[in-house]
Amino acid sequence: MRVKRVISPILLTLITAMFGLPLYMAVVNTFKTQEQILADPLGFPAPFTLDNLVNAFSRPDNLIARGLLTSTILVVVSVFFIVIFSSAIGYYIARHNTRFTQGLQLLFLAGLMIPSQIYLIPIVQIFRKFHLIGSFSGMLVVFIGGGLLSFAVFVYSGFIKNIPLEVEEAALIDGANKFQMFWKILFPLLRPATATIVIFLSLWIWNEFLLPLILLGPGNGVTITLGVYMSLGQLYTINYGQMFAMMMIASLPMLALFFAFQREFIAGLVSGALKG
Amino acid sequence: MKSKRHFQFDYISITMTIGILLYLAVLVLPLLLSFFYSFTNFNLLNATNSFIGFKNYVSMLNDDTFLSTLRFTIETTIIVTLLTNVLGLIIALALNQAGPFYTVLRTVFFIPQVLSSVVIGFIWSGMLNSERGLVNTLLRQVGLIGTDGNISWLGTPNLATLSVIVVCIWQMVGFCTVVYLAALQGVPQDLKDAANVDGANSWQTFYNVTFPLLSPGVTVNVVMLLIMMFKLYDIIQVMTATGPAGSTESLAYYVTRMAFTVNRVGYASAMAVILFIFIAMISAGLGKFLRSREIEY
Repeated sequence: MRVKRVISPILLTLITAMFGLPLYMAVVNTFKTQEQILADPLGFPAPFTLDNLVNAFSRPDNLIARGLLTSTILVVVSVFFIVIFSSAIGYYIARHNTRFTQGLQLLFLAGLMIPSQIYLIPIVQIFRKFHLIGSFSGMLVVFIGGGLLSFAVFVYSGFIKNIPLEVEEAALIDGANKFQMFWKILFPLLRPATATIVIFLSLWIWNEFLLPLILLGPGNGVTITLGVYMSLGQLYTINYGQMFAMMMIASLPMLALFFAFQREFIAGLVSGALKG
Repeated sequence: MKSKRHFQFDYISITMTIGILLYLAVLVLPLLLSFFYSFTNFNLLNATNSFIGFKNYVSMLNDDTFLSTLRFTIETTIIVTLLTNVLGLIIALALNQAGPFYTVLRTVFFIPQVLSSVVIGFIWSGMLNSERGLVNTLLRQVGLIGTDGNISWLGTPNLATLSVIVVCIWQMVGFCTVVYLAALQGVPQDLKDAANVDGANSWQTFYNVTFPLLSPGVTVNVVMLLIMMFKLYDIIQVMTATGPAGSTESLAYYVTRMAFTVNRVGYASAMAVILFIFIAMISAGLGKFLRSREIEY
């Protein structure tokens, strides 16, 4: 028993280290020169260089800086609108049990499992006709109205069902209208649901690859994920340091989000998963 | 309360209507259009597009590429789902302890979940590069292959498939681990104690007490993994594309290639419909089956 108690943490550390090796390599090599990387891919970055990060930002095509800006706007605007729409739809579904709401639930269920290709095919045909391929606002509308809305609707409707009706009735009796009741009284109570939605949607939109690849296409502004894909496709055999630097820049905002909200992150994943 | 049927112009109904209309326009209507396209020979190169009934669906059965992408998708889906669940459960059992040491280890396993598939694909392409990649370098240092030996991980059909499987497991195992950890925390200690008192050894306690109570976690992880793997696209696009001799082309990748590169829209729609039916069947059918076997205490 005593031997086991010493061995198992060591064994666990070794296994975790092996699992984390690709992550470690990506981090240390961001701060090494090409020669250092090729000579010793696992070595610690000594001497230490920030050139890769600087070079990634000062690319002539400005792909990284533009990508970060585009992705930030995309995430903020889509999440904002999805929260507005899904909270209203989720509220309605939670508070009414009619054929109409049952139909709605079925409709939104489809959005949870649909492969995006199936709705992208017709959308691309329509966008081509109206010259919307490459348009940022066109892509924004697809992000807001697509499968992510379904996810948010289900999180909100599930959560609102557990909030007693008396809360709203009291507010309405006190003379509040629906808008005031919803935003002043009910919405603050939905914080855990909103946290789950904001965190996961931000992550998924930031990391989404297929939608921007198909709807923006090259040359028309890129999200950060698409930008990394496009630039690494060109230079990946040539410059390892810059490759890791770009991936680091693309991942850092989401890693920061994860570490800042780790508890909400895990709670949201688990509650959604185990109740769903 | 007024009559419920009467439509009221209040904040909720107006916002909801806009949201639903948007969803109908972006997702539902295109979904129906795709079903419609799947019965046409819609092709950007054709001057005329006409209704051809089930011809696209019949052509799939004679399309070797479709059959091989379907086989690749089903094989990798089953293997990855099984292995990721087993590994996720083992890791969860090993890390189901309090303290900062275990918290750090859990975090390491979860980090791939936060990274984009594009980043994961590129990290692993770098690792698996046959000349300079870390995997071959390490194998040379350990002496498993000669000093000038190159294993072409992404250039040989079987190894490329294996590589895709390993990367998918690496990406998803953190998800399974977190779900199993949560399920483990829901297993009451007194049930395990009771089993110990009755003389069960630790394996018997796990098999007869703990594992059955993890069944909601199993349902979630199996269904989630199956859906994710059926949609497998990003990793393939970044790491191997169609792969050597088409060996790593997934169904979702083939649909995307046909729809947006080859521009055979009608045919691609028909395959997308099949993909959708597979996923709907898995989530509805298998989900229901697994849920019916769940045990509550």
